[in-house]
Amino acid sequence: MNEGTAFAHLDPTYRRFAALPDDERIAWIRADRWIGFDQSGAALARLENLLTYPPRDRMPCLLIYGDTGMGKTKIVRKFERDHPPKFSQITGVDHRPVVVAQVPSEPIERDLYRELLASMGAPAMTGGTLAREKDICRSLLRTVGAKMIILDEVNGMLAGTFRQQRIFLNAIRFLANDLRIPLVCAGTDLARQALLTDAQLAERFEAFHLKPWQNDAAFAGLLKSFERILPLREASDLISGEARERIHKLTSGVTARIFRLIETAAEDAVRSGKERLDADSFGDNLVLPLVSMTQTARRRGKPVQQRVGA
Amino acid sequence: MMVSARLPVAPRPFMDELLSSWMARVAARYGSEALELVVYLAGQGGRNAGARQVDDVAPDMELLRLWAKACRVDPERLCRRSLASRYPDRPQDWFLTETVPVCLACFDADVAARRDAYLRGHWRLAEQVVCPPHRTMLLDRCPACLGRLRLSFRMLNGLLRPFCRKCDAILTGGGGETEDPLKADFAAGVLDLQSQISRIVRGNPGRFDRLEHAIRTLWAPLDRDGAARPVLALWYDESGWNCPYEARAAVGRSAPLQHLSVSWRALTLVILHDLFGADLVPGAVLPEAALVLFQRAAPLPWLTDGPDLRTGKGKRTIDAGAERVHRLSKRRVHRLNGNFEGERRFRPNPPMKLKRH
Repeated sequence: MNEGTAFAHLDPTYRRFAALPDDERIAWIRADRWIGFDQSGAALARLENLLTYPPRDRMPCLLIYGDTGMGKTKIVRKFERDHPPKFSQITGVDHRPVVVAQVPSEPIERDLYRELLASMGAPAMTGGTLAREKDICRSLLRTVGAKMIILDEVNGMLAGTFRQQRIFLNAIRFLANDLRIPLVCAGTDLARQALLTDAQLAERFEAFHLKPWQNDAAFAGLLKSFERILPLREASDLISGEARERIHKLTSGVTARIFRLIETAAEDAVRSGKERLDADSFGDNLVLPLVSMTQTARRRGKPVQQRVGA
Repeated sequence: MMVSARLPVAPRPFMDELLSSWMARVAARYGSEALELVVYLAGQGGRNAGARQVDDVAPDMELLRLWAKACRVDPERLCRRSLASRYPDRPQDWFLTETVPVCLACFDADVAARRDAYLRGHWRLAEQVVCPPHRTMLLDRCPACLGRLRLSFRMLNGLLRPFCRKCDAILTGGGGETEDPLKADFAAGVLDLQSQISRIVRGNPGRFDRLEHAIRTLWAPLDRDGAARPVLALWYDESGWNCPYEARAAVGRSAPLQHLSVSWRALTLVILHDLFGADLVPGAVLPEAALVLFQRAAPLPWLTDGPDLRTGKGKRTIDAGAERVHRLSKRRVHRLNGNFEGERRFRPNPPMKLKRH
């Protein structure tokens, strides 16, 4: 069978995956991947715009916030992948324009520097003073040519006391001022509230809200993307009104849930030999992949099947 | 499986840099010491490489490979930076093993060139006491605290600068200090001797053997029981002269220069010139002044080529002689002490002396 014509319902780049054995196709479906959509594109464009901002005393900063599972971390990682470090053999420096770190579990200044060092691949030595660790962190950020610092899970800052939060926010502001590079924070709506407690930072941060999906043309576009890339051997129908409605209701428009639901259904389609997705694929027989989705289904009065090992 | 660490910033070694200096610079970028960083890197995939100092002369290849991988440098390139590769014909005991003396003018030149300060490989050569480009004496004591110089590198204005580990004084920025003309003359004189010694070390093995013999003899303990000094003390012709603490470790050693400070090594070169003239090594016939000194050396194995005749209380002569020097040099020697009896009589006036300061 000619692969070029056999899987005409798929994007040409992805047709070869449909010819793989079942196990490999399931592995492919489960793999981490990036599917661009309007909101993510807009967020990436904002980040790109910030990256090229010339150094000035008061650098603009960005807060990307949204519900859990809306793809904040995915966007940040995608942006990091788009600007990978480049090692120079002559200088021995990994030029790293984007440094991404997670806010530590407790908002402690020293842990912030250690997270930044770890994200650059630098060893964090124990036993030094806080001032020394700060100096080393700043010096390394300058040496690697960091043009942007992205702090993910900023909402974690609220786990600390008020005083810890103040110190932590001061440390963040100090880094941005000292290095004269934009700072990007990502987190849930709690992150926005945390930043609002510092008037100076609140003035400086632009906000980008990742909204849940509505059942509209953009949502249909996302589902169409899945149809074109998932390695199923028959043409799927995800953009019919019924399928869209079911998917939207089950996932409440949360990106991570949409991805997991469709991946689970696609895996089932491969195992059962159905080889296509449609409204029936999201029926009562489908084991919902996330606990949060079972909650959604229960609220809607739908019986949830408890299958062990799903 | 452990993943080897790749350091994000790993400055490249300079052409004439010591391996230990390069490793110290890399570690300093992370506010750490080379040994700490080795332990970290070994933990990331090395097996037994932790807790080992690098040997500048003949480094351990496993350790070099660990550093090379973390810093993304060709291990062969690092191997070529070892002193054994750079000076293949030089015996190991002609490299300094302890403190590396430094030239502050070289550090100032590093600042001017906007590069990290670093330790030059030739500073570890046993005969190097003067910096050839700057014609100044190398330093092995901190100019601020006068303690034995131990360096650490720290970031200052984006570049690594040398600091005294003991007093935290920065060792750059001393430029503009007026050089004492007498010191400059002395350094220029010693530089000539140093270059000549380097040529002897590189050249004819026969001449080199005679040079080694002369230096060992000068630093051999005196042959008389109770003597608190090496043979070289007779050259001084000063009553009450005691072997200073910093020179004690060299007495009776087979490679005395390895254990001496810059000033004592410079003095040894001057004495060689004084005793043997422009040749710096004894010829077929010893000059009278040298003969008087050399016949007073304790019979050490490497001086006599024969069995050790002076064994006392079950100890080998070398140990006994060196210990005696160490013990007695701790206390002041009165000029009328028997230590000096019969020694001054044989001390002739030297034919020519360089200025000493």
